[in-house]
Amino acid sequence: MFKKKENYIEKVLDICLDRVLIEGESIEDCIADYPEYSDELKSLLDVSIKTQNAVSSVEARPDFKARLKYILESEMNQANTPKLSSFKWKFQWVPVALSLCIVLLLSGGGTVAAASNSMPDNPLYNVKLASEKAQLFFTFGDEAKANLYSEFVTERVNEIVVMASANNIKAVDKSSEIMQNQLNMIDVISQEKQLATQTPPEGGSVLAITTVTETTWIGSEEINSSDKHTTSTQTTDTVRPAFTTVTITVVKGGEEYQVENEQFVRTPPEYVTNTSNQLLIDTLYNDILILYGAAASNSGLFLESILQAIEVLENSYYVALGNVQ
Amino acid sequence: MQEEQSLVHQAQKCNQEAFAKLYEQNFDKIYRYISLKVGNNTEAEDMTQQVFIKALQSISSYKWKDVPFSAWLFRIAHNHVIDYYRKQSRQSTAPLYDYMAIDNCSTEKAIEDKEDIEKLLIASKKLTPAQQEVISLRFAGELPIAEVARIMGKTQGAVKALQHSAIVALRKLMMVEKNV
Repeated sequence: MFKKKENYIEKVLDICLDRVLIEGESIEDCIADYPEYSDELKSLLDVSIKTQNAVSSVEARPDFKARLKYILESEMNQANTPKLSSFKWKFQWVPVALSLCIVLLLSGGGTVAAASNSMPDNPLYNVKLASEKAQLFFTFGDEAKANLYSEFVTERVNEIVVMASANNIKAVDKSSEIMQNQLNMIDVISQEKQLATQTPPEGGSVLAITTVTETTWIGSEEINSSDKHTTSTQTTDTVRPAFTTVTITVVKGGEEYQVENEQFVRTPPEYVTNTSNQLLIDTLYNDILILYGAAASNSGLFLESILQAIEVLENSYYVALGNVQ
Repeated sequence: MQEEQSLVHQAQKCNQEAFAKLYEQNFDKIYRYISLKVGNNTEAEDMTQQVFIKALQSISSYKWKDVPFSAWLFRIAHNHVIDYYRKQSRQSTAPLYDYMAIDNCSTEKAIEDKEDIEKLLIASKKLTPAQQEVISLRFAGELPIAEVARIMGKTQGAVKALQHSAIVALRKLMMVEKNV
């Protein structure tokens, strides 16, 4: 038995608040259990529901919520010690690993970890991008690579959210451009099966890269074709969206094969097996991978970068073949 | 509750996904609580960020006591709000509802929501600090009375009394607003 009316209504109000606001009961159901205070209870619960509704409509800006989540995840990343033991070392990756170690030593041990949280307006951002490329290099299989690209795209989205909230349009553009390239890479991987029929036979060495052609398409029309080595003909029998391809012709097993840019870049080790200078070749392929990742897929820089890398690669082939002989 | 305990346990082991889930489950409540207390979006965002960073830094020492994880977060938020008012003896300059922009495309409900929040904020400023705290923890934080009492360092009976007097005062104040 409650001694005071006020005490009683405080307790009953609290009970009804739980029943109505938390358990979802109607006001009428609750006040039916306390008929002696029904009018007062109804009036207080009406105010409570209005208050609850008003409070519930207070919402944070979505970009703030996303940015804070990103900050917290970054903090956790820093707290987690990187685990390098999971790498499955292969002899052929030793030069790349050594290069990575040198970069780490030169840049200081914590640089890469610190860079992992950097934004496009931070000087360490390039280290972050280089670290992503290194991760790609050590990731094998199309599906695994596509998943990694997908993670990087998520990271770009976070960067865009943070930079947009800081009104840093230049940095937003930078992240957007990189994200677009990474989305393109996912597309490239998804097209892998369609290109598989063009893959040269396994085994044997690539003897030469004879032509490199850049072709720009809009719809089914070829609007521009520039051959960097020798003339090459492109047909326009398939309908394609506007994009630029780089077609590389390689000689292998006494026959020529035309390989489009993405396939050449993505599956290079198949073309260079059985050479005595495998380590050098692998390193050069890594250069191509990095160039590919760094250059915009539709710019002249892309083709120039690839060409430079291929030129070095061709020379190395000759050196490698010379060593064999 | 068991699921939440498991999440907390994983988050204590630096499991990013687990902490992210705890964040998603509690962000809105913490933000609303702080917003009501400081009445200013910029300050609310800053303080919400501080609360979650503090939680992340301290979660390894958190001990599970069969109460909602949010109670711990609200205690951190409560302390930050107290610090905020200690350090800054000023009231909010940019009202919360300024950010709820109303334009030609806003729905009728959005306009009503904005009006309700305006009324609530105006009315809640006339409550005592203790009444404001109960309303914030109970309605924004959705905490049970026992947790509100623990956070405020009061008995449950005292909190029930404060809750009642706060709602009675709000009823009176909102009626006055309506009639103005």
